[in-house]
Amino acid sequence: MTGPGTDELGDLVEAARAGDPEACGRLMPLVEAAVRQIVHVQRGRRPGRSTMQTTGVVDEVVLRILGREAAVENRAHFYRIAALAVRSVLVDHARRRRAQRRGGGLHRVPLDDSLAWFEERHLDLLALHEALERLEAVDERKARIVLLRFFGGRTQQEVATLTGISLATAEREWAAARAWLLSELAG
Amino acid sequence: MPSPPPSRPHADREALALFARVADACPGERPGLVEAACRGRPDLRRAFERLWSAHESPRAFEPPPLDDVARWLAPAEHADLSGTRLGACLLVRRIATGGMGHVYEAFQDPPGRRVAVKLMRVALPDEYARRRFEGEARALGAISHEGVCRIFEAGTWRAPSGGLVPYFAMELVVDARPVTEHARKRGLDVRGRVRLLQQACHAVQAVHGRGVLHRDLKPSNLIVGESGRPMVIDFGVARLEAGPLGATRPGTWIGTPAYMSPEQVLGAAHDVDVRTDVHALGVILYELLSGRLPRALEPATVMQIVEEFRTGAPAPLERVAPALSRDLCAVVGKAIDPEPSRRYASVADLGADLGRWLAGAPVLARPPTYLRAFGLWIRRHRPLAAMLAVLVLGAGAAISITTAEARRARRALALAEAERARAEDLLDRTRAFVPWLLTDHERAVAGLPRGLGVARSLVLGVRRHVDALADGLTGDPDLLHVAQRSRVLLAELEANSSIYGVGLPTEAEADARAALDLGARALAHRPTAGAHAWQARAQLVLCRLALLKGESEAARAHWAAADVLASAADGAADADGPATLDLRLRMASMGAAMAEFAGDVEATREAGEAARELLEAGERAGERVEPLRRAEVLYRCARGRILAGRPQGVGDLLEALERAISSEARTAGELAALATHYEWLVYLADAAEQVGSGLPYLQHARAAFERWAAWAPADREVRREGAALALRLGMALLEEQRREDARAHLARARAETEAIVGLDETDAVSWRNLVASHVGLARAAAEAGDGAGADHDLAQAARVVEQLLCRFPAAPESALAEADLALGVAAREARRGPGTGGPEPVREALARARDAVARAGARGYPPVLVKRRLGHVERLERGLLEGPDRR
Repeated sequence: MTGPGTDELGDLVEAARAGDPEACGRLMPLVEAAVRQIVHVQRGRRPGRSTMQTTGVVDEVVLRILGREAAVENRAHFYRIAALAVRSVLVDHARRRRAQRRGGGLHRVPLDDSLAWFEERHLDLLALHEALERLEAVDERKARIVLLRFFGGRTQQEVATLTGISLATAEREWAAARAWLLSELAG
Repeated sequence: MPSPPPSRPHADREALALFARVADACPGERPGLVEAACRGRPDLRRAFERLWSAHESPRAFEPPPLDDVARWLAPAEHADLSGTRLGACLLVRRIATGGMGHVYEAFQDPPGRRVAVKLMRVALPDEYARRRFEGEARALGAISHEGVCRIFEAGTWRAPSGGLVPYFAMELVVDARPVTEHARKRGLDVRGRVRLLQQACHAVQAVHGRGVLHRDLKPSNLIVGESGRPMVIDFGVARLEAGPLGATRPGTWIGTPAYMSPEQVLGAAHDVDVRTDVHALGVILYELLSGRLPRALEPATVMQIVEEFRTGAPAPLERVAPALSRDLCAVVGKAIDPEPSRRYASVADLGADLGRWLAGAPVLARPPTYLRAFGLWIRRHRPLAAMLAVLVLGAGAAISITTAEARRARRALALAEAERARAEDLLDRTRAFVPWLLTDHERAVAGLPRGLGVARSLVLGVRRHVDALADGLTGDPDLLHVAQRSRVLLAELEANSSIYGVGLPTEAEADARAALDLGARALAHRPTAGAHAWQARAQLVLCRLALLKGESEAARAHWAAADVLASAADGAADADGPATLDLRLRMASMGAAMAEFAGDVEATREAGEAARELLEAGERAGERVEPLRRAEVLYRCARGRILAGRPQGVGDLLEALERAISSEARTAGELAALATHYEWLVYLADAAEQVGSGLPYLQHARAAFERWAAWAPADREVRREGAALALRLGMALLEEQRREDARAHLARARAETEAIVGLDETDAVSWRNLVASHVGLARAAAEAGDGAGADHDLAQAARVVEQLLCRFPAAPESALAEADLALGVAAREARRGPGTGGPEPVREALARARDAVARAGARGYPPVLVKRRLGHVERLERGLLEGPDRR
């Protein structure tokens, strides 16, 4: 069954990727709010636990956004969307920051921590984003695996299940994709 | 940043393939593999080596932990904004940070006061969402109750990240603590805790009276400050929070799981009603009394929560806290029952039962055995019980009787006074509701969808109080008057709530007559203007009921009686009785309705104009007229002109009507006002259809509907109205030969009604609308020359009629649907062209239609509407049989 919201959401994501600002505007708050509220609820319920069990988070996002019935059927679709959303939020922010760094007038927001995270690992998020887009043209499956792992928080096993391949294949593909991306990033 | 190397998809693909082979091979075989593949291919070798060295590099390339990602996505307004100005508010210091957002103490100037400002955590996506947010916030701002936190200002703040962040400025509660924490800190005993929650019930009920649900009641939204009184915050905010998509998206949650009800977790948005807030208050009380929550939601992912709500049950309070009173546990148990229909019907009922428990009276949640009741009664009436004991046990202690008697009398008096105050209080709250239910005798289906149940339970609450006092009433004209008024209100409610189907008109009649009896007793003591005026209103109820039954003679008699009573009210000694202008306007409206029922359009128009003149004269004289009453008179006047075929100036009337409605919406309640506006426009379209096309009014109605639907929670009733309106618009457009537009509306009506009956198979009206949509589509197809399409649609209609007959063999809707189908068949037959059966099949179908309408009449469809439908059949007959050459 196709959930009532799935197509709409899919369309939104497509439009957002194509650069439609309105679609971005409608999609992001949805995903962001869902992620945040779930994190909040889970934190609240497990006092004293600094790190939450991350595997559950996106499941919950799925449930909240797609509803119970669609969740089971359309998980793979949604995980991709959620990961795309996360990627798009991070990339947009990095772009904005880069523009502002020239203009000045900084005001710290939590998203800035993402920049720090990537910097600590000597990764340029924008370059990674562009390399990932190129990888899509070269090998769509590898790009999808990277997307799911890197921005969707999926484990290797989940990626295998969601893309319908064996764990061994998923690991090989990941290794190849990593090598390709790193070689691209190295220029 | 260095510019990226040019894309080389092909070489890359080869290199990646080689990489996979090499990575799979044993290390010893690798060099050979590479050599073989790259012989004569320096480009491939280069590409491969780049890959392989990247593969072997220790560079970190691990995905960011999702926890970090979630933190990055945290609200952008995280930074302390103290010193920032939002609208008229200067933020002074941050006082709280939570899941909902951040709360600041601020100074609002003007008017120069300390307020709390809450910044929400969701950024608004666009300008439309901003306008909607501000509109809703303004409506919430109109709510004023000592137990409800006032919203003073709402706006949006342009965050540095670019997002529009909504904020509220609200009453600052000094030293606010969640109710549970307050109870703990103060060491409140059980009664103190129950009293807190009872006060919260009053506050929540006051807001329910405005048609607004809270949906997210929890201890942190029920705060107690220095005053010691609980205050409800964030009323209606849960809905604002959910945002433009979240509010309608199925499966989206708003709320906090621990305090959520099964219908919130498992159901759809339209399952949520006042009883959801009853449930949350019950859970809070549970927590206040036991320190625990009724459901174990500890290891909870959403799936587990859903599972718990699906299969688990709340732990009975008496088991968790065995020392508590059984009655109190029963009250809590009734409030948090997983099945909404077994809960208290309203927050007022919960509050009332808590009041009973506090007063030592038996609670409704646990009907007492006689013995227990007697025990409680003794506790309440010790002096009287002592006297009884004396009487029962013998005359030995007769000396004490006189003092006991005196104490009893004093006590009874105080009790009666308290009861009366409570009844008055309830009446006041009821009054806010009832006007909305007094719209029009033509309301064909159950009355105002939302609020009706609440209003009814409120009025019944008053009646219970009044009935409890009935025996003691004889000597007290004030109490008699209260009783009279409550009966009239109840009768008005019942007369409007269901014109046919549920047998309420009988109750309405009984209540109106009981009111007349009580009023007569009150008048026998003291002939006040108020008692006379309310007698007149009771007569108007009887008048309306008589009209519904088609008894115009009786209706006239009741109207005349009301007239006499109204004159008596005018002439009564107490000059400042209730607004007699209001009564006169009611009578004038009813007069217009009677003229219309009598079929005299000119008299109807004149009565409408007379009502309007009365209104204008009254307002010129500076008399106050309720906006709703003004709206009703304007509606009547417009209706008269439309029926008389003289629609000049109706546009102005409609504008004035809309102004009156929006002023009512500001003062009384937006949902109900907008719903009424929509309904009146539909009635005007009805009227216009009797003399011509209703299309312009339907289009007005559509605009009104959209305003209403934008406010109303997305529920089935609203959806049903939307579908019915689409159907009417489609049919009206068909009449105007605007076939394409008509089809679009009809197709929408069909899809919507299909979805609605899929959700609720017991919705006979929507079943019937589904039939009518098919029939309308058939007609559109036939007129477009698509005979096969028409036959197909008619066959579909016939199938639905069969289902309808099977489900509701005795409902008027089934018969009406049969009639719709028969008329569709007649129209189709008439169009078949020469040599295919002639007028006989048409005549047969028309006869079937007439029979079906008559059957609907026999099953309780109001006579006046039966008459109208038969007229419709006749007009169609003339059109079909006398003009066979018509296209």
